[in-house]
Amino acid sequence: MVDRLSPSRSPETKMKRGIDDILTELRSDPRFVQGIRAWRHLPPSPGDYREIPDDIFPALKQALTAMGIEKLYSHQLETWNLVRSGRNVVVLTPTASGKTLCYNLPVLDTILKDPSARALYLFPTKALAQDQLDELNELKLKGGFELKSFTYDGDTPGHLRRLAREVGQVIVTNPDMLHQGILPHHPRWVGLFQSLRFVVIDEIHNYRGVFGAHVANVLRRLQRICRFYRSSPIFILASATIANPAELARSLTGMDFAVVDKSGAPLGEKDFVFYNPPALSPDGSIRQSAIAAATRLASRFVKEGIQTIVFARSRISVELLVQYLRDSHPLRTERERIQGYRGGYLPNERRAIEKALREGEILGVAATNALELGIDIGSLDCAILAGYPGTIASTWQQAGRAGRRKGKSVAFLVAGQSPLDQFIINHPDYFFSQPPEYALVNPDNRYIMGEHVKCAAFELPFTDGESFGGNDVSEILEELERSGILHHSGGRWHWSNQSFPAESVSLRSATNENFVVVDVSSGNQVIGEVDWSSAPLLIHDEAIYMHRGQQYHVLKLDYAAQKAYVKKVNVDYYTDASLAVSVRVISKDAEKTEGGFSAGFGELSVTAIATIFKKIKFYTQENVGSGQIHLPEMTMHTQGMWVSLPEEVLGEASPDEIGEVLSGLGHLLVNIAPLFLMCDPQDLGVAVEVRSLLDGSPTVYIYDAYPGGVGLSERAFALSRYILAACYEATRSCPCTEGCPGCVGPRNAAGKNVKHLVMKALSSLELPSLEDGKVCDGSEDH
Amino acid sequence: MDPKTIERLREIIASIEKRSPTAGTRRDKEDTGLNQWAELEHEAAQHAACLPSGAVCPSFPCPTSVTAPAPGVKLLTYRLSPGDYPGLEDHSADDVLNLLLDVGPSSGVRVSTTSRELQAPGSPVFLDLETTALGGAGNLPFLAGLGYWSEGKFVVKQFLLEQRSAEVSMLENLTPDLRSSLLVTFNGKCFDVPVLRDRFVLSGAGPFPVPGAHLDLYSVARRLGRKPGYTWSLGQCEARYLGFYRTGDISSRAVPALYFMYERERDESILSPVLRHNLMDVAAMASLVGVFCDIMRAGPRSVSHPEALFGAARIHAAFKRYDRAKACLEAALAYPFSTIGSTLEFRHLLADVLWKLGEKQSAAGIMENLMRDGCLDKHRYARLSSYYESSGEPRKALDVLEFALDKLAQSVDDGKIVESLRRKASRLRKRLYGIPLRRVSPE
Repeated sequence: MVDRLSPSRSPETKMKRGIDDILTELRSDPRFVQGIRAWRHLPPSPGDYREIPDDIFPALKQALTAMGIEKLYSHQLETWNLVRSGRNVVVLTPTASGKTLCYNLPVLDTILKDPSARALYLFPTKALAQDQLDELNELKLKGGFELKSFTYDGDTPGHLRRLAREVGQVIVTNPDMLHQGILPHHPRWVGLFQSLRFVVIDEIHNYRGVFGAHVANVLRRLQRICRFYRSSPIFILASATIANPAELARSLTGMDFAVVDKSGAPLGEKDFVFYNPPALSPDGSIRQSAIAAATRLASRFVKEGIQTIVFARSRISVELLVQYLRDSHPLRTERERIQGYRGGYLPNERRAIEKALREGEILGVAATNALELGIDIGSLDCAILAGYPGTIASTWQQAGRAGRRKGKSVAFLVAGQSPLDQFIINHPDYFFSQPPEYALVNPDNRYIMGEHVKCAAFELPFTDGESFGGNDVSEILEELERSGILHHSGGRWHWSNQSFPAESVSLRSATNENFVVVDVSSGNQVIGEVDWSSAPLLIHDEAIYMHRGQQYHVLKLDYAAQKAYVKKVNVDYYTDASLAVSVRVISKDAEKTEGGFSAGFGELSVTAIATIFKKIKFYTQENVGSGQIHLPEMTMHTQGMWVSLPEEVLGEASPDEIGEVLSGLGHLLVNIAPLFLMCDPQDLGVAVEVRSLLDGSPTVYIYDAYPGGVGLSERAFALSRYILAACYEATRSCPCTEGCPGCVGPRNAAGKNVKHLVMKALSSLELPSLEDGKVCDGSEDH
Repeated sequence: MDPKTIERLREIIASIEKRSPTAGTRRDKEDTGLNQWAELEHEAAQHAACLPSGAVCPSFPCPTSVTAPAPGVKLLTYRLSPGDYPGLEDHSADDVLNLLLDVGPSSGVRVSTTSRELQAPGSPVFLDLETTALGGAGNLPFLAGLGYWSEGKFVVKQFLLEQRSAEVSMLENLTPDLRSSLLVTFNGKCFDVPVLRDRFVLSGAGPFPVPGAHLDLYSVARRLGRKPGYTWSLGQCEARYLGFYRTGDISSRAVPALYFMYERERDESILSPVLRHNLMDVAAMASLVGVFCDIMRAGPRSVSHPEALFGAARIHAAFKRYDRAKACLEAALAYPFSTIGSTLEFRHLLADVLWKLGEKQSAAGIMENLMRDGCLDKHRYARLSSYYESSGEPRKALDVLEFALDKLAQSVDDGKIVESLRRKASRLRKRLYGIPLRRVSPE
């Protein structure tokens, strides 16, 4: 198979020296060698090719031939065979392994043979949907066949929407649009639902935790409507690496799946290097920043014309990298070949950067995890992770951006200064032996399911005894009738309300609201956007806002109008703002004292306020000034639970030590509780108080990171003894001696042995045994 | 209604009346959910309670018959005489057909024949639905009012859904009247027709009975009445064209709440304001058709509607019916209390229409005036210039072109027009002075 995904290089990007030359040079650079913590060689894999099936529709085969594909990869054929035999399939293969053909082949083959067949594609973002449409169009063009494919989202103009509804054979959309724009209007989509043969859901690893629970319920509604129109589509799902693909697929759809996880795509050899930047203080507590180290590393590759991506963890870091990399480039004319990529760039800018990356026009790109998703930018030669991305799966995903089918590629993990970064970089074996994270979903979350039962009742009346995702929902329906939303008559629950329920249910926690950045020095052009929650940090008055390597001074933030007016400037500093977060209990709904600790549940308010900003000089990181930020605080009311430890449990510990014990316990809770709650760690927030405002005792708070709450901490409260027991078990059985990311968190450079203290505290509580199998049933605690 | 309900309603009304008269009638679009529902229910309750004794305009006959064509479906039939509703006249189906031919069929319903070939698209049926929501699969039409002319009477049939389980029967009852009819609605293109289409799919009542043609009076109203500040609700149109405001009617937004209340309490009197509202809407459409038709032919009922006459002229001109367009424009000019004739758009249209009718001198006069006012549309200069040239006044023709070129000199978007005017001008100069260049003025 011809390597069609690798970009055709323009002549001037021809490598002067190869990757191997630079790696050799690095190995012999004593300064660099000092920082190497691991150098793993991942051997090449030749690829496993199979014949294209004979019974494939001729035009489709022609399209493959025209794209230079003479043979399929084994995983593509495996998926083809499974789908053809009527199985639901979840495909789990690395980036750029021809994953989209896995579903496009069987889907298009079916539609070409039976033009009345329909398929629905779901992608997490509009950009990915657009990518997919382009890919379908290419196949169509190369094969010279007819295919009516449409994206259907907020950007689709009215006349195309009607066309999509009436004649669309492949509808490419996102879960949010399915939820609000398609399912509630299903009678307009008769054609689609009556003949729906395939539902394709890509990037399912995004659908975990609370977001996943919402999506799972949207899919239940989809399946309910399909049953109404008497169609039973096959599901083809695709995911980046996670520990439990079949389980996630089942949670999302309620069906069984065959897993295809052995990639047949060839892989070039690859080196994965763990690098700790040099220490600046004798005890190693202060190190060169990951950004500076990544810049030095990246510029070596970029100078030689080797396409390099640098991942940074924040938007400011991305802009700094762009700035530094451009400065380090010897040719001023080449500066434009180094670009940033992050949320907040305008969609057109992003498309242009993606295209330039594919075509090899851009040599260096600094990106946030916005480029971690399956956006097609081709494969690059070198990936540098400036800071540990936080999860094993993300690390592999980002490192996977470098890697060609043949030839060598390299990935670097450059550690930051945080304890977590330092732990990972100093324990490479821990990293390489860990499985990727689990993606957990609880589709039966009462809060979330309740909302979707309401939406489903609007779409089609429930009949008596009808279940929803296998759940008895009669109580929910009765409750809805009591509040005048449904009307029960003739054995059916009819919608009896003027509201449009899907409108008030948002699948994602983040609001769509944003601030626009207006450049007054170029005729009031909108140059970018900033999401609502980051605005106080990035575009407060006097801030330096960086966009694509250019600095802008914020003249005025008009908070009410959600606009920031900026002016182009050229200064040698940037600004960094601090956010203060505090948690306050508003109402105590339940309390209990058991096993030697007390726990509570209630409504919390979580307040975040931008306080001050610092002016920080480029390169030297000197603080050259600061200022106050005067902006309204952002408050979220949510549900939370708390655990208070009695003083005696902590013995003679000093307040500092108590603080560390609580942080360690918080770290444990946030990572262990999701296993019980079937959510993602990011769905939970944590806060600690050495002397709580409630009763003065040391307290750890866990709260739902969603306005109003979604029942996570309510259940954590019910299960608190079991969760603490599991925390103890996880710490006890962890092989580390002083704490690691898998238990109480890595040890602070100057800190005490937190693990020992946490173990001591937990062991003095009376916790239940985890062996009795009652863990999942929290009812006994009520 | 049982005394307890009445007592409750009275309390509600008392609390509503304390508020300003407009309170509770206008709400923000975002304001959905239970609170709004409760408010609407209050409003609905107010109407339910006060209607029997409230002022009624116009008064209606009781239904001539009330039957149950199927279990759970009630059919109320009314026979209205001309004059029972303002503007309701015994006009034959021809009015509807003429209007349809004049304005073209509205899309949204597949039309079996084009307007020009339209011979007998079935008899007109006026349709108005009352539903439980604004859209989506949970939206249920529970009342369908169908009106048609029969032996000099305007017959309105109202099918009321008493039990949700009877929906299929109700839709089946509508089918014979809808299929191959000449359907007339108000905003049916966007609402009534798609809603019904959805319900036929959802309830499994069989294929949607496609009407022979569809005339959406809302789109006609919009095309007739373009004026800043105009809205085109049925109530506004009644006020504008039929000259009266409804009193004692409920707002459409209160309708769903009344039905939900009826479903819970099963008291038919709750729905009486809805039945009346629907009846008025159906009758209003029949009346409006007559006025619209008259406006399109610049008839006697059009005199006080110069804006609408202008709109009608625009429609006629678009269909190349210039003589009828001229008649409408003249009728509009004849109305003494309007300034419509002095608007630029009107003068341009009049010039175009006269030009097309061969009355070139008059057309040129209007264009000349527009040019002097500095307002002549840039596409008309060439036409005016050719007119002068062909009527033996090349110098005047050149003056027009030079004026135009001066005027358009600053414009960046009009390169093509400027180029063609420039070519014409050099040809004229060559003819007049033997040189293609522009004369340099002595000063």
